[in-house]
Amino acid sequence: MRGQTIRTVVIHVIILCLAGGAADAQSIFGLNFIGEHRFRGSARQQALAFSTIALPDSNGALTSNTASLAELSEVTFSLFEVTNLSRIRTEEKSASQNRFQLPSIMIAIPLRDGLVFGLGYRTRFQGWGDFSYERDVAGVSNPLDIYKLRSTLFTAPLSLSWRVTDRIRVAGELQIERGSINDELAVYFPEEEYFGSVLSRRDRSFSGTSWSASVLIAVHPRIRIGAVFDDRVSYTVNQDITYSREEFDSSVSYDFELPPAFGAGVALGITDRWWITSNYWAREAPEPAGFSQLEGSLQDERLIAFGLERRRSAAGGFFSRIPLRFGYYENRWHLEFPAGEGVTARFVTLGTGLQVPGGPGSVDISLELGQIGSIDNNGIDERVMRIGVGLNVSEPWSRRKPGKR
Amino acid sequence: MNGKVVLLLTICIAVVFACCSSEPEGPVTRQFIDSLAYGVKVGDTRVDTFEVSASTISVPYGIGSSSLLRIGEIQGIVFEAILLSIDISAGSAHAGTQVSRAILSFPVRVADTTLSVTCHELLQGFEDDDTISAVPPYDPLAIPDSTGGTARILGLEDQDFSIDTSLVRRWLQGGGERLNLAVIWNEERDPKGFIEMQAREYESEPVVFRVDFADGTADTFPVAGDYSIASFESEGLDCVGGVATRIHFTFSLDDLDERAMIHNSYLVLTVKGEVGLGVTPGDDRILLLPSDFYYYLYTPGSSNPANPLFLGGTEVDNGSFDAALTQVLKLPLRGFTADVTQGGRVNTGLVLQSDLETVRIQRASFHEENNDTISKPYIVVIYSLPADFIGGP
Repeated sequence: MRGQTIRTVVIHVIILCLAGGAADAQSIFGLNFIGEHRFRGSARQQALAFSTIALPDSNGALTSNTASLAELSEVTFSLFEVTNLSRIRTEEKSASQNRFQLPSIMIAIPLRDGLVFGLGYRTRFQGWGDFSYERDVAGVSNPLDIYKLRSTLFTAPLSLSWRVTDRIRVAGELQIERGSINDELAVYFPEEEYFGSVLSRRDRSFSGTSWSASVLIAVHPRIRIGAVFDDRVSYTVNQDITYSREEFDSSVSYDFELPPAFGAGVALGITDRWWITSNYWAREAPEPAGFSQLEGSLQDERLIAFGLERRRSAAGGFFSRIPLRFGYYENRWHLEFPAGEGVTARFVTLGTGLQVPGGPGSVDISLELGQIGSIDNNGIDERVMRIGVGLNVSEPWSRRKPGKR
Repeated sequence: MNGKVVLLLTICIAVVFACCSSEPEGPVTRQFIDSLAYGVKVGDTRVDTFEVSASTISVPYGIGSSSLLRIGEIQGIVFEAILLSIDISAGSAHAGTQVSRAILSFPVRVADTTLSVTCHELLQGFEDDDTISAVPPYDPLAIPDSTGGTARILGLEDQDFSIDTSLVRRWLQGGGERLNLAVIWNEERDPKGFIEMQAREYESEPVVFRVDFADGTADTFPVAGDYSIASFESEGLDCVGGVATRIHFTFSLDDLDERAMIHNSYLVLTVKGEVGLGVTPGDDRILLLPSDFYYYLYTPGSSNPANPLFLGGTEVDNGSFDAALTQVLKLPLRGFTADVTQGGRVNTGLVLQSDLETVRIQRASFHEENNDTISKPYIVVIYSLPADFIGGP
């Protein structure tokens, strides 16, 4: 019964995730730039505004703090998918956009009590832009400049989480970083017979590795502190520029470094069920190597987040048995647009979750409502609603006895 | 809740998510493009024009295997003679028999007037496959008719030419295989007029030579070969089929930006509709041929018209247009311009010819002067410069 229930839930969540298969950029401010990223976690962490760096999770493997995986006693599979609905506005124009993101996946495997190995896939950044502009050219019908921007950067983490003592968990993570950023521009004459399009395209592939360390300490049964340090990512970038005329093609390699980031937070249990969480996360501005158009437009990134969670109760009515989560975060982007005008995102979050019937596991849902940028400061803003669905399922692994199926 | 209902709801939610359409990003991303925040700077798109020199080249081709024979003049194309090769090998059977009457009968189908012509005996034979652009040598003494006269009128009502019987008897007794004749238009007497008749290739009612003998027998001698001799005196930029007149365009593309990525290029010509000829009346009414002028544009193997390689080359374009309509043509140059500017091909110019040069009589002429409404030939190249990608090492 339990296996069938898990299978059913998994099928349903995967169907929902497949709906987001046509991935779009996270934000109009992405600009096909490597610096954009999304914060770690699943729907529970999103519902608490990613303020969960000090919050242990005994249910899921996609957490804000990898040290939390030491809490897991069963093989745990977690999956998280976000759908992003937004309205982009300038002073004169506006457009509705639906932006889907590739899911994040993590599997945690307990090697022994308190020692958990984890591996998975996290989308660090995904960009997707298709737009075109008509250009005035005297003497001929106006051509279209058709832009096609694609980018995907992802992390494949290999982690080891260890419960050092009853109060201290630590984790180390090797992160394999891969991805590509593609910028394509075609000039196309839609109304003219015999007119060929001409193409200019830049492909940049990124590869690198980095490591991460995290710690989660229970100072008191109701006071937790957590911290994460993500080391710099030194990417090797292979860049190919191709044109309709092959003799203009070129290839070059160079390095791009994403500076280290750190985060720290506190989780306070007001009562057994009510917890307040907080997080501060920061990263220095990257050097614009390979992105010189952003010279002078990059700044330190910062996240300040707070959350409030009422945990589920084993007794009581339906609403008593489901968790309630609220949060608020302010994320100052790495980007200034125009130069000197920082881009800030402010979001309120909420969410809840349901236990998977018949066994450990949960389906969490979350909602983010907020705005990125402002017309006054940036000339453009994006009002965003993000819907997240997270799935956690667990299964104890044991050696099968001979003769049993 | 039933599991199937839950699954159905899940799929419905997924479909709703997937179907939520986005509006175009274009308008709202404008400032990111203008500020180069994407790091992509579009290159200019330009329209450049290049002067073209043009000259008309005559090529010694003629049409020998047409379904119609022509004599007279139409749109400047002069058909000065019709050559006939009559098979008289069967004439030896009548050797010694008196000839009572001999008629050379022309199946005239189209004539806007009558023409004054004379018949002459050719001094040499010919074949339909020959390329003949001028009347071969002939006996200057015209063949007399039954009354001794030599002036003849050819028209819809005047299709039969009587031939002096003694001359016919001599031909038949001569034992020759072929009788080669030329019907020559007396252009000075009838400066205008055009007549078309069925040729041997029409396969029905060609020119025939009928002879009645005094013993009451008669014989018809078939035409084994027939040919219309056409000529054309070019007065400008003329492209003519049937008399193989081509136009050679020469130009330099050296001033084109060396970074140009070409969208399109074309040769611009203004048609002189008033002198154009897409179809002769006979082609139109008898053969029901379309009236479009079919052109073939190629880049020759040599830029020197005296070089045999000039007559062939690589196709650039082909198509058709109404040669009788004054209009501006834009003949696409396809990959030619890119090949020349990128060093893949030597610029030997372009040659425009009738694509039915050896099959049809057609004429297209083009203006070679500029004024408010027309222009001499020129080449247009539309291209974009490569985008600049900002960034890199």
